[in-house]
Amino acid sequence: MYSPETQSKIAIFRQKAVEGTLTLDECRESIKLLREGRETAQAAARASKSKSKPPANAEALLNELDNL
Amino acid sequence: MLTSRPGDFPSIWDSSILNEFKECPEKFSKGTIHWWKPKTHSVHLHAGAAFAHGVERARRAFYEESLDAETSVASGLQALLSFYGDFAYPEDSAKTPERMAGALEYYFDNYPLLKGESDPIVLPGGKLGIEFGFVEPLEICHPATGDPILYSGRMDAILNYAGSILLTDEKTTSSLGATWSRQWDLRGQFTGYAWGCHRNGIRVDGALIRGVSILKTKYETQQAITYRPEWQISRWFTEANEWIEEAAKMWLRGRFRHNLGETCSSFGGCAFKQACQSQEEKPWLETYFEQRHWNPVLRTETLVETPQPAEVTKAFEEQKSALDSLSP
Repeated sequence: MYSPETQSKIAIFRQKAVEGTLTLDECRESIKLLREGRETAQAAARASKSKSKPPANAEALLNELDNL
Repeated sequence: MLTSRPGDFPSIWDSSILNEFKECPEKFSKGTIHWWKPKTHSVHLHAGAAFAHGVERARRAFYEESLDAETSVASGLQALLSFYGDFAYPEDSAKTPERMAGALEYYFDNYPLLKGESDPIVLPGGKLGIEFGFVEPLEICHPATGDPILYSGRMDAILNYAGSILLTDEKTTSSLGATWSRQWDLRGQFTGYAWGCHRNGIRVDGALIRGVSILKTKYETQQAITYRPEWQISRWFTEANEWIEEAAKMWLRGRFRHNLGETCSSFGGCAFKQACQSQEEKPWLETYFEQRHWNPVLRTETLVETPQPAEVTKAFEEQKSALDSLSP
């Protein structure tokens, strides 16, 4: 979900949190990165779903109905 | 008398301890009476607590300190990562600090901090309903001291939401599902919380439970609202006293019954299963467990450096004397 760069940054910020030196600005940056990563992953998942399922052929379906 | 040594009957109970006894009295004996806890700390519990710290901090920053929403969530993230610390999580766990940080961002994207949306109520003392805790006496008395047993609870918040006053609990989980929301309909944890709120002059209508599932590649969320009418709270109170009375009888007898059913194998198996399968439990307990005392009020766990078998023997002898003195 998150790029290697994002994961690496969060890991650095986590270490800073352990040391007690993590700033609010760095947390704001983290939130922004996490949001971007999640939204990118969600968009990719939506695009993948729409590609994998071919659109229904309405004319073929109606022809089948006529042949019943 | 507050519980201070392994073998003592607990003088303060909470939802977890009550459930533990209901699941299996012997599990309660090992875990709560004698303080045996697995040496490996659960990543689920630690990550869940880190998440709760983050949500609490974000709420306080927004509602108490009037910081803007973005700064409040950032402050929550700071609290989450500080609490998570350098906890050694299993390699294959989805609840890494990075994933939990993402879960916090996801939570506030779904349930944004907006004044007037789901504000914490103002408690009778003037504080806001963020992390509200209570300790109240039950009717049942301690089998050794005679003092009333205390029941404690702590809820994440009490919110004004959808026209109701709802005690609120956030739950992090590995998966939600179609039936997730229905499991809370009768959950005693929330009935007990509602009882505690009413005892403190807070008329809650029920509970709001927000679940966030944390998987390796995505998050999901659901929320459930469940109501607690007075008759359900009254039933919970009567039965909680009866359950604890049962536990006291077993403690005085010096023997707790085993479930020997679903509890032994559910949720990956009871931690004490190997010990219960052995005629000599002590080597299993001393190898794979350590004694840690859980204080439900302070919500802290204190490690006992070495097992205290002499204390346990003394506690049992005192129990037996108390039981013998009751005989006609």
